[in-house]
Amino acid sequence: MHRLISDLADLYELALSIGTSLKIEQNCNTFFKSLVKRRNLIGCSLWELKPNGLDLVYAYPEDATKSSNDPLLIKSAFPEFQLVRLDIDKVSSRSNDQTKSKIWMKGGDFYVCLSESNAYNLSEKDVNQLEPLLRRFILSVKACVSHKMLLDEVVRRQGVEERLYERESMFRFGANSLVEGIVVTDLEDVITYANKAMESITGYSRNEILGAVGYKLFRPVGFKDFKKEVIDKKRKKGIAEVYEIQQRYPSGETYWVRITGSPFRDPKGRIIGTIATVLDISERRQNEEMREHLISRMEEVNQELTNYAYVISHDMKAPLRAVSSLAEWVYQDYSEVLDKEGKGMLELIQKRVRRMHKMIDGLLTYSRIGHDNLEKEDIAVQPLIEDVIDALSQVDGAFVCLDVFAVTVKYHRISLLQIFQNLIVNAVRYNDKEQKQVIVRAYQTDTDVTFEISDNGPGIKAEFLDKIFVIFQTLQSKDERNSTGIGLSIVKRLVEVHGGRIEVDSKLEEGSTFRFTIPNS
Amino acid sequence: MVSRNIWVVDDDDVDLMTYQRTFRVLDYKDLNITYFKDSETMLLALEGGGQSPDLIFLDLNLPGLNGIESLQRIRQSGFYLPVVILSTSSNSADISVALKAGANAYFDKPVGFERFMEIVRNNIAFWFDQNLRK
Repeated sequence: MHRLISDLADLYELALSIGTSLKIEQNCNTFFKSLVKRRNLIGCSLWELKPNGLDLVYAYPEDATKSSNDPLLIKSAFPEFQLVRLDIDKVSSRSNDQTKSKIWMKGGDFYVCLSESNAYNLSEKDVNQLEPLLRRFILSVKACVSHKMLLDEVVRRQGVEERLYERESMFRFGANSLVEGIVVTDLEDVITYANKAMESITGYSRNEILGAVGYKLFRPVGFKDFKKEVIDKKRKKGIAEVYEIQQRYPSGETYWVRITGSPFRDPKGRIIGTIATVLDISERRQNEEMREHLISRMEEVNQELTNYAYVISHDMKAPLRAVSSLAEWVYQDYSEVLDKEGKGMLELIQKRVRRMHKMIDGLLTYSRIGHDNLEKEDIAVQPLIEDVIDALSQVDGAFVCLDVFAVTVKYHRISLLQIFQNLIVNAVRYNDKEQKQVIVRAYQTDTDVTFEISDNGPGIKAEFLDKIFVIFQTLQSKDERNSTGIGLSIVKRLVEVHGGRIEVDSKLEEGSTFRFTIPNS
Repeated sequence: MVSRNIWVVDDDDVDLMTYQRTFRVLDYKDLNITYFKDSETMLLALEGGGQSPDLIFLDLNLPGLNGIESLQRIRQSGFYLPVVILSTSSNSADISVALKAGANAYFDKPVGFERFMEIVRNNIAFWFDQNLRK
């Protein structure tokens, strides 16, 4: 009896913990009713539990309701309170008020209280009769609990399965609509899963892929022993990797893929294979190869151009010099034979030769920009421009105003020198005013410096503004100014090769402003 | 006054004419000028042990053995006379290569006879410590 009661108690605990209250309630009712039915054997009492505390309500055998001493029964006068407690210790000793409830059980809205029956005056007969009842009750509760547990488990599993199924179909849908291939292999590289994209990537059908040994089927290029190098060394050790390899189509042709693999583990965390995405990057690789090829070709062409410029400078200047010398000697040696016109022609030859010479030099300078090492240094701008002006005879007589005090810039010195040289010479050379004026200003920010070289010259017509930086382009007759048309193109390149930019504003008759901005770092 | 020997190595006819004209105009006495149109001939003469020069004007762009190579040969053969490069190239790479090979001076061949003459005159004045008799 003891055992049964404590079993029942445990069972209730269990029942409670898994929330089978409803079933228990029904079972309690059944149990209770059966107890009541055996009223000749067992008496029982019900307490109704009110919110404010326990209120004792006796439950007696049904026929006892007729008796004034046995006022009430099961379905209490307070139907809204279905909390009832059953006192087995009242069994066969209804009048015994010393009984102590020992074990309370809650079954749904019921509280069932069992006490240690042997503490009371249960006759052996009572016990004998009660025991099978209790056994049945326990059994039914057990059944109920296990059923509930089973049910819960089924529901849970169903849920899991449904979710699993959902997930798997989502995965399948997702996996099969991907452009990327997904492949799962075991530790021997046997393919256990492949999505649809694997077919188009590899050229094999999924039937051919599934169950095949990955590296034997796809034949990656450039491995002596793929199994050793990749599978044993990396995959089995759980090293996740992204690598680009060349594989072979069934035809043997190669294609590039990028494989992003990570270890595939069982629920216990043991590595059982690899799951990887496979992206066809043949096109990208082709583009890359193409680009690399183009770049190297461009470098070659560039090198050729540099060499070409070098050859030009060397081989083309030699005959020029010869022409120049010969013209000079003819002029000197045959001076008395030549009339004025003849001498004029020889002078023209000289001028043209000199210009050609300058053009070649300019072209050479232009083509070299960006090839030479252009190391930057901190330059104080004012002394640099002063040096430029001092060295330029063309600037003599012009008024050059510098508003660059304390400005420093990190730049390639010779480049900056050439830029200022060209711009200042231009500002003076093309200036048609009596008092030639050049103003150099600088604006410094954290990241760059902007220089402005303004003149009071004739200005440039709007339609020519975008032409002035074009190589060999001059706006006046070359003879008139003895210019080559290279200076500004060189300036533009010297600015741009360091990531700067140059522009020009101009107003006819008022002058032009060349503005260039260079990074100060 | 000891007479001096100057060798000129240049394959360009007009440049050779320029040298000749220069020396004619400058009109130095006690100066023997020998002209070579390629460096092999010059090296033969040098290594042959005849009268060795006191100064060489050397072009870079020469047929066969070029100026740098012949300069290296001159130095390897143990001749430490001044060698002045006069070349059309103003390429800084050429200049540094020439100086490394043992050139004593490097000049860009100028356009214009006057400039040319000035270079030759200055070199003679510099290497021969002054005024040769005119």
